[in-house]
Amino acid sequence: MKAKTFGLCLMAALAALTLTACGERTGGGTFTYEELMAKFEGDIEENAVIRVLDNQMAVETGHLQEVLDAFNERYAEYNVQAVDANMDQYVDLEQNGPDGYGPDVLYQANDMLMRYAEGGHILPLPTEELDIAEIPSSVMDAYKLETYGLDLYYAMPVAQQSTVLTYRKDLLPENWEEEWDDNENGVPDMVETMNGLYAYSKQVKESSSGSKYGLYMSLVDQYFNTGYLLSYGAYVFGETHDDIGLAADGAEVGLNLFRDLAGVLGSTCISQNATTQAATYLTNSAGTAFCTIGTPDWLTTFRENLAATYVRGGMSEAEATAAAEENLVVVAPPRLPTDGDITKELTDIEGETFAPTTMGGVNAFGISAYTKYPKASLAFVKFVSEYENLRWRCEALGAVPARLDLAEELGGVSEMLSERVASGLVYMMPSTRDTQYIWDPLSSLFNDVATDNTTRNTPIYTTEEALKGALEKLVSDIRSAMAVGNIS
Amino acid sequence: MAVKQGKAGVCSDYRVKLSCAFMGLGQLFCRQFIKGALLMLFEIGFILFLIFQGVENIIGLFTLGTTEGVPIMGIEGDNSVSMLAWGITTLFFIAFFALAYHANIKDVIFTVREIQKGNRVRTFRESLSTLLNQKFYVLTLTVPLVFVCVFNVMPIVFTALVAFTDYGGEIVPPRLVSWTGLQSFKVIFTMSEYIGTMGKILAWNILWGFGSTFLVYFGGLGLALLYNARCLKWKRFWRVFPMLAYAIPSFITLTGFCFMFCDSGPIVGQLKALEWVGETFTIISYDSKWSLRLLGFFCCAWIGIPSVMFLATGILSNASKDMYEAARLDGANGFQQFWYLTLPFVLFATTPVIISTFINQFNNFSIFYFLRPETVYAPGYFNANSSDLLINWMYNLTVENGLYSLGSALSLILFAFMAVFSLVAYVTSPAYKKEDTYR
Repeated sequence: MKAKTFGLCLMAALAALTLTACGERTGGGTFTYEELMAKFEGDIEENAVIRVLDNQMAVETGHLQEVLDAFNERYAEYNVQAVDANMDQYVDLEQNGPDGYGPDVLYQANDMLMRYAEGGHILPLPTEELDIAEIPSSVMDAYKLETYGLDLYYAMPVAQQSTVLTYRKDLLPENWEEEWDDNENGVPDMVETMNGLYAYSKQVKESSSGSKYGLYMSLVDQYFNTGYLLSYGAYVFGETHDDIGLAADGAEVGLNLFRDLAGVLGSTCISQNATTQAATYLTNSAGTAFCTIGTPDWLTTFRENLAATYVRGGMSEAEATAAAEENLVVVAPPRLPTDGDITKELTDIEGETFAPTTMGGVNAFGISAYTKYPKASLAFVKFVSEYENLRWRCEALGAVPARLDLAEELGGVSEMLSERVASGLVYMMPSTRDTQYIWDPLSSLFNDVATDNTTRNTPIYTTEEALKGALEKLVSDIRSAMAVGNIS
Repeated sequence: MAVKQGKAGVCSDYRVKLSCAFMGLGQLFCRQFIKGALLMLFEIGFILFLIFQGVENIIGLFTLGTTEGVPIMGIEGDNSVSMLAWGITTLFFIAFFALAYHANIKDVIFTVREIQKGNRVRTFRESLSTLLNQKFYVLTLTVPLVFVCVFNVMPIVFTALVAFTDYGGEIVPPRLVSWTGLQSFKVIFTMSEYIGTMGKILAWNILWGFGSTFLVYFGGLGLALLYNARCLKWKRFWRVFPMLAYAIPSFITLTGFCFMFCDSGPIVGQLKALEWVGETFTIISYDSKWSLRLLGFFCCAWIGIPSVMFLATGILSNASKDMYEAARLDGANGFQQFWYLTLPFVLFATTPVIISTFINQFNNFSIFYFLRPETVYAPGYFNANSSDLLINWMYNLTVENGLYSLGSALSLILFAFMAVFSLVAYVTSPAYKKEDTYR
């Protein structure tokens, strides 16, 4: 009995001790710009090993390894070893960083990187040491975050992403100039307007009994399909994050347009796999798909696939590569009808259509706050953002540079996309943590509406009110996700 | 009464009091020097641990950190999640120490009693020998117990405690986690999205649990009876097929089923080509509810029936042939023999299997995860789809959305439900009530 009493007394004493010891919580204080950048001062660390996370395409094409080798060679005197982080390209630094895992340098899109910035997981960079003069302020601002009363930039923008249309010239109808060029501007209507693309897709599908497609793309891809809503007046966040504008007036017109498009694409496109499938369909010998909508960097893969198809058909490597380059054309996303009706035939393309707004983003290199080698990491970021190395990257990966001068020099898609950014036709993904809450509800919305016009026996989104209701539900879901995210 | 008085007499002995005050002191005065010294070292080690680490860990368990880290300045700060884990570990150490303390007092009482009886005090070698021979079971069970505590109980306690914090969403290290009491449960039970989703998923999960268990169990039993039938030829040949289904990893089977039954797969395509179904026919789509649920039952049967079949085959081979012979002589037909002999016999032997099958099926994560490979949330569901089970929902909340405290609260609710069901099912089962029937 006494032993039990003694044990209880001991426990009570411990509990009392712990409760009295609870203290006030303190933040991290405040810091000046010089203090924040002090870690980058001086010579780079010797014998540093920095793990670099790049995107899958850079890894698969071998470009990353070439860059790593070049960097290691330049900094050989410091015996710095930059190595492939060998991690999933969407690795979550927020989870891995504090545990001591994760890369030292990482290449991701602005919504992800700025989520890390808000959580304090990536380092603000000394912009005075970076070559940012030719990067538009709208692009740099994607990485700006006020910290300790200072406007700090958390990553070095490298490439811009937005939506483009890629088509195969050899699959154009022979008489396209007579039948599919109403405004006689030398641009096929099916790649110039969404009405033309809709009509052509319908014709191809019907004439092939569903075995071929005009347009083939994933109907559940939030990134590309949100453009239809944005083009007709929607926005993601307004002045505050309480203002979610995806159900703004006009967005239902864009949603109805998407619904019509889904009807002609069919249920096989209601899948993320459709994105992978598009690369096959667009480049196979049967020419299963005429075009797809995606990002500019897909072109590299498309060209490789198509060249491989030509080689299998008997061409030499060089001929096949040249033919693939010639045959695959990248253009701006098709113009949309002002009234949102893609099923009608246009009589005045210029007057009845407008250039669409598409979702865009900026991919950049950031440095993990958990790196042991900030100077070596910064050296790597500087190295990859040098003009020549950026050009090397853009040519190897088909990326659109963030630098205006390089975009101009490269011309083609890069120039076209830069112009679209300058014209305000690219809506930058908001660089905030709350952006993460929009993707799943958006994917569900597109699934729902696409299903409605493909496999649903009793369609429900046949009226403007129903479409508006779907958008309001979307906003409500995003709000709930944000609320739970803030509570949890 | 005499025994109690005797015990009280022993407890008042100064050597027992000394061991109560400090481990091993009493043993030293009983001339058990090595044991006493080891026990004293153990307590000293524990006190040192408390001074240098333990108290800090316990304080950390209460505060979950007081200084927020600033990784961009290389300031580490407190890691709330680690502090929670170390706090729990320290509590386990304290519990282990308390047990050791108790054992130390029991040991000294035993020794003093032996001295009072006039017996010789055990030497250290003899004590060790007793531990190895007479109390070998204590030694052998302690090691697995420690492993169970470290690898099972502690993570469970950690997960359970996370439910009472705000860990997840925006609150991840370096930000400090706080204790929020029942906030997570309040969110689940008061936010309309959550309670609505939970109600729907729970109802479906219960139906799924019972339905799939019934299907797997009776499907397996039926197949075993079929393979056991005298009229069946080439039994070994037929048994190969369920063995194949059982041997192939379930995720490969499920991926195959997903491909076969998706819109671009051969089955739906062929049905449409034959015009047996309309153009809008689909099995796995965004708003598929019952078609996908039924496909889930089918896949579950495909994967689960073989294991029950093998089990039932083994049990049936032990059934007494005399019973069946007697039943036949009494004029019982095949169904009556099954109903009154086979079923009670198999049910008795497999009740724990039924319970474990139910728990496995109730928490069957893989079926709908692989049948609906993409993350899509259905209207009327929050972070879930109409075919999702609670475990899938939990996955969505925690892994996909990082809402750890909510996921943890949900897992506690799930655990409570399963614990009550398992207990009630087992206590009311023939295996528990009529334990001696088939012995």
